[in-house]
Amino acid sequence: MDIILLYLFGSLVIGMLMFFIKNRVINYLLFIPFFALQVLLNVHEIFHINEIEGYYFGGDGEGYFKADGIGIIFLSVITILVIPTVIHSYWYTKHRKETIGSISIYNLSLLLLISMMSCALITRHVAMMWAFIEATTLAASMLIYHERNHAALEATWKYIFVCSIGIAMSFVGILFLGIAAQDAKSLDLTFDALSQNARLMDPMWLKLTFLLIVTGYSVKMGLTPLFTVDIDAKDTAPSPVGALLSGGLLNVGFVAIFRFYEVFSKTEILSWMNTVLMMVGMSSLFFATVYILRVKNIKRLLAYSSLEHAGIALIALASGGIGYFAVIFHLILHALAKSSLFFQVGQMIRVYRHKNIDLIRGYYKVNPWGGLVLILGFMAVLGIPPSGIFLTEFYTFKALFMAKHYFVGLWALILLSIIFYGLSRDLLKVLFGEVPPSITHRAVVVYPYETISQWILLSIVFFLGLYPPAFLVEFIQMAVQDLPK
Amino acid sequence: MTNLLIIVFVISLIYMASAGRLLTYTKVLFIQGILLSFIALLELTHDISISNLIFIVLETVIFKAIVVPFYFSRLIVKNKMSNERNADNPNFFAIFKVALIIILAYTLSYNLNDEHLHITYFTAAISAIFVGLLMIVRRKKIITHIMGYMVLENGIFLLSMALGSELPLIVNLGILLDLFTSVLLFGLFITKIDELYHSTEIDQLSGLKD
Repeated sequence: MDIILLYLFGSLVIGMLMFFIKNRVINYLLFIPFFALQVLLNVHEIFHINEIEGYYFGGDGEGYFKADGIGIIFLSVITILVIPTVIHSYWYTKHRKETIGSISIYNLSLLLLISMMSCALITRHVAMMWAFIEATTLAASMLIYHERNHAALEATWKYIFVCSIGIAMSFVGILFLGIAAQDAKSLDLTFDALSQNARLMDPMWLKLTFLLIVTGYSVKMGLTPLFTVDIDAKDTAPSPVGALLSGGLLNVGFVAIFRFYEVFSKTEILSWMNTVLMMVGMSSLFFATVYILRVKNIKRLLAYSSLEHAGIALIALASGGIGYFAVIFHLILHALAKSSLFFQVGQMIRVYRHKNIDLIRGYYKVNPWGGLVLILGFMAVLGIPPSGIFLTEFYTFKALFMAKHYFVGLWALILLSIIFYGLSRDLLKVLFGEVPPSITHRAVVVYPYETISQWILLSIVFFLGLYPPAFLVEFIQMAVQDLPK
Repeated sequence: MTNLLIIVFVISLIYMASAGRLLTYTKVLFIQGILLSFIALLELTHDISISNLIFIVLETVIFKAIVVPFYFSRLIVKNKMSNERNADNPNFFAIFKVALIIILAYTLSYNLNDEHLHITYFTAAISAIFVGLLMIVRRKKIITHIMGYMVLENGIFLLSMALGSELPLIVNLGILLDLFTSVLLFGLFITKIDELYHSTEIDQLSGLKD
């Protein structure tokens, strides 16, 4: 039995059922078989690591799927996020008193987004990965449009249009790779074959490919140059979706860039690629800093913080050495911490009915459990020990200084300090101070049990920072073993 | 023969850049669709299976030459959309820009000097991609943005054809790109945006900022 085919087909069937069964309870219960499928896929891939699967279309051709270390790591992150996202989506739609029609479209899109992201992570073929990532655009845009107002429409329009340009650019990148592959007398566009033949290819085509791929997928990872639509998307989409975009799609974009980086790192363009990644990372950090200081919308604040972490990830990847380990570990922790923050901010917006930081005061008094989650979440993303992100940022700087990138190191240190100031300033404003009178006479609408999943995610972040388990370290090392030492 | 068609394609780009009327754009898109389907027919006949060839040519004719341009012209007439203003006046500059793009694309492909590269294809494709981007950046209307994107896609289709004989999968993927993004772009959205804003100037979409 082919598990991947079962997964794809099963999610399709469940998605269709969600669309057609107009019953609230059944609609949410359908996530149980989907989650079972997701876990099945995840466990199957863990036991079949580095095995080639998916011999479709002809049988004797190349297999389309292979779960390697990095694929399994981020697939597991998505699997962990499924249940919290669904639960928070349930509360979100319940409090907005949404109709069953819009709920069923929301659930269908959520399921589609999760399954397309999962497949994009475990495929080994350039074109298949491109197609799956393209499909995430469709699902994500339906979710961004969920609230059906002007802001949602504008954000969705921009997201779709810029994503389409990004997708077109990465497609041109793949075409150039095809031209380069002709030099190597091999038209096999799987990552394995490409990394074997990369040395035979013309470096100029590879450079063009890499530039186009980084630009094209920057919209998925949320990096310069195309990050703006990603920020709008995370702002206007429902908070649980924002969590999934920050915790799942960002990693998918990273894996896409990482796979090309891994293939081309065998050639002479390695140092050139590192320069490109450093520049993209540094500019992303710069934009994140500028906007974090001035932005007044709490969800956009979190989105810009994701931009910052994406920038750090690229800098860590480009600095090499221990940076390789740091980048993967960093993105795992960031995904869990940022998604719990998005969940929490969604509940905060429910209390205040506003996203503007200037109108949100005294959250700690209104909802102590949520306030505590907010404090711990910000500690986690700011890299305050014992958060694991402290460790990964420390490793990143170690790698930077060991590789003698003093300027980049200094630049990142200064900007991170400014971000630290900006985020903690806003956090303190929101948590303390006078509770606005419009809130005090309203009954508290967030119960402590609604923060349980956020507590679990955050405790994973802190636990991993203190005691990273051996199997995780092993997986991360497996993910980066093919990179140059 | 193929070269002749490609040259006509490039001329259509110049014509498009100098035009200001929305209905002219749709006509050019129609011509480009027809040209591309002929190029596909001529270029891929010997290299791919007959069923795949029929699929590709039909898709190009139906989709690029008929559905998209006619859908747009109906939309333009129905909503009485005004033409593009103050984007590039006088039009001489627009022609000048496109000419510059074509010259640069030619210089680039000539200098790449790769044995697997068809210089004519590559020049025309890169020119179309950049003319599409130019239209997206310079023009004000959402509908012109989408048409700019269609020109960009035509360029990509041409580029994939240059590789099609070796990698048929790539041509099919290009078609996937076509169908997919177009469904997203106007199937869903231009109608919604029109309903909400009663105007389709991009300046109206400026509510989200920091």
